[in-house]
Amino acid sequence: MTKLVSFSTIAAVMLVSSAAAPVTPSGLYRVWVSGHGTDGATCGSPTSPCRTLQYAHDNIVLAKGEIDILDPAGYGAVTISKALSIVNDGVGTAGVQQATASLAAITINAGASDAIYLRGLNIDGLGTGASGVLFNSGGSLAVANCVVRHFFSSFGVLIQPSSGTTLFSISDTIISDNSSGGIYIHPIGTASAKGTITGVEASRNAYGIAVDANASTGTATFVLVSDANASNNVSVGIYVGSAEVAITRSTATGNGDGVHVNSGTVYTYGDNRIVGNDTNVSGVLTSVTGN
Amino acid sequence: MSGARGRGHDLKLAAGWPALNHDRDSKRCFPTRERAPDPRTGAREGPARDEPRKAFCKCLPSTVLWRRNRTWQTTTANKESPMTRPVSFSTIAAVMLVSSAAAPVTPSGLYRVWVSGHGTDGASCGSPTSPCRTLQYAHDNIVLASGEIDILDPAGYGAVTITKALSIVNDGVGTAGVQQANASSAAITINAGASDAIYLRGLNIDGLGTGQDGIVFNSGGSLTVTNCVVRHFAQTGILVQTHNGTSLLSISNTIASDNAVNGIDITPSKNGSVKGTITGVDASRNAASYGIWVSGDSTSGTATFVMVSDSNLSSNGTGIAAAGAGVRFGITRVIVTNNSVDGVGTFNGTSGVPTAYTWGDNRVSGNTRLDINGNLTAVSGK
Repeated sequence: MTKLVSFSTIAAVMLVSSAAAPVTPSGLYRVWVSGHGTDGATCGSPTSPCRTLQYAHDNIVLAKGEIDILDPAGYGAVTISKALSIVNDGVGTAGVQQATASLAAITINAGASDAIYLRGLNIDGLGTGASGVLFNSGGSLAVANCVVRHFFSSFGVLIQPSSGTTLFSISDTIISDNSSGGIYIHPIGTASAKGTITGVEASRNAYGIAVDANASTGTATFVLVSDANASNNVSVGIYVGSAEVAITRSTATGNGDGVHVNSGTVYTYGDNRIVGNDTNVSGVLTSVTGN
Repeated sequence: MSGARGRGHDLKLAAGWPALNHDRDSKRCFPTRERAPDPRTGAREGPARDEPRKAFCKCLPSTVLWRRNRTWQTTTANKESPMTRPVSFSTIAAVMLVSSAAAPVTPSGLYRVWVSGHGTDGASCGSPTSPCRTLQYAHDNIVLASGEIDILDPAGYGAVTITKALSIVNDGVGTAGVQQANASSAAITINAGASDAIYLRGLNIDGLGTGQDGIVFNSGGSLTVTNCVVRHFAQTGILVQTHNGTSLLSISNTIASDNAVNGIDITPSKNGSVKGTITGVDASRNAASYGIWVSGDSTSGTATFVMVSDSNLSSNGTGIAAAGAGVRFGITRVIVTNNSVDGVGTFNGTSGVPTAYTWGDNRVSGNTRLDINGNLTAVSGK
């Protein structure tokens, strides 16, 4: 469904008065990008797709709209500053690479109530890019069916809002081979972060999954981790500091520490597989029963 | 907790960078490098191909915590060291251009290379609109180390030997086939550097009943195999025989079946160890030997640990077995049935008996000789 906004009406009026005036769409709620596309003022339809995420974000897609992947290609790094969905629903690899050491592949600087949704992206740092998904501000972030690999100095997914309560969901996603960390939930300032991490492989990083609210005065950070595999991380599989985290049906093997509770509270349901680490559990786990 | 142990796990953000430090990469550097649009495709990813990619870098001028002998230690890293990315050919090409205007521009490489059944191997292939044809050509001539070969459409892409950090990704466009009919060769051979990460996704790897092995991992930092099918080889589906330190392994959502000997064989040699997870794998109908075999008898390394979860190891010779005192494995939520010898085995190899962990949630029954041949160590969930 493609919604052209009211500017087309204006443009039509302009056309009447001046046949030579170019028709400039003011924006679309659905914008297609393609490896065969071309960035330009009129791109965005399935038959005339744009080429890059950033161009589509900056010039074509409206806030709350959606950028859809038409075919397999690399679509370039993107900074998101408004409510947006980027969706690859199984057409092949939709790549986002970042080879510059100080930059993130996807940076999110959105408004406090903006919902950001990323699905089906293959995000790669080539061993040098800083971080895969860097969330600085926004209302919520959902990462589903993505691969976030091979970043160097920062994290695969770094959620570090500075105010309010950020909601997040990371599901069915591989976050591996990042030489610093996989997932880092790190509210700062007055922020809290509440979310779920489900069906995630966070392996071969320095840290697999880290939740640490020690730099924030917010007190509402709560993360539920289920069906995760946080293994073979150099330092820690799952790290918790100054936050509440619940872990269920998850595996942590081959890490320095399987689960490291620095501070805060970690709830377990007795169904996690934590073996074969240098230290399986560092700190105290709080057992809770299923309902 | 950590304070008492002095391990410095606090994750703090300083000046925009998390001061998260750890042992493995404390000596690595941050390259500085220009990013420019690809001159041929206009793509914004990666550096310009004709641009010299020599770079210098600084190590993090921060306190680095690292670990030796299982104790965290502190040092200060502030060194400068030159780092030369794989590059120099572009410089040579540029020089050639000066001396001879007619010389063709040879691309120095891309970080993302597309292959297609409609593609053509050649010096300028690699973009979605001008893809290459084969994995080996793309590997040898186009893709840069740490880069990625992506599958554009369904086709057979040929056997490949990988010698550098590389991802090969088929994200659901259809069958991306890799066949090997030669009885003395593997479909995918990995001879990479000690820190290279190899990542294979969505490949359909077939030995046609005669090819020797599906994936042979001889050397490299890590191997990930996900959403693949590795079938019908005369020997082994996935053979991990690394021999230098600890290599990391992840096999997930993959079928390793119908191979004549083993589905997955993890046998490090020399001083090698393998730490890995096997999740959601069907390793069945590997007729002669094992669904999964882990051996510590050929190595002095003792760090091998393989965690197997949510997998089906049925109708093999033996479902899963290991030998060697330096080996541990765990099984959880695994089905092991109808194997013609044993279900689960812990064998007294030349270097002793391995340790096998169970959480009491496996289904091991209906195997011909013994369901459990040896001892399992019961552990409780946490």
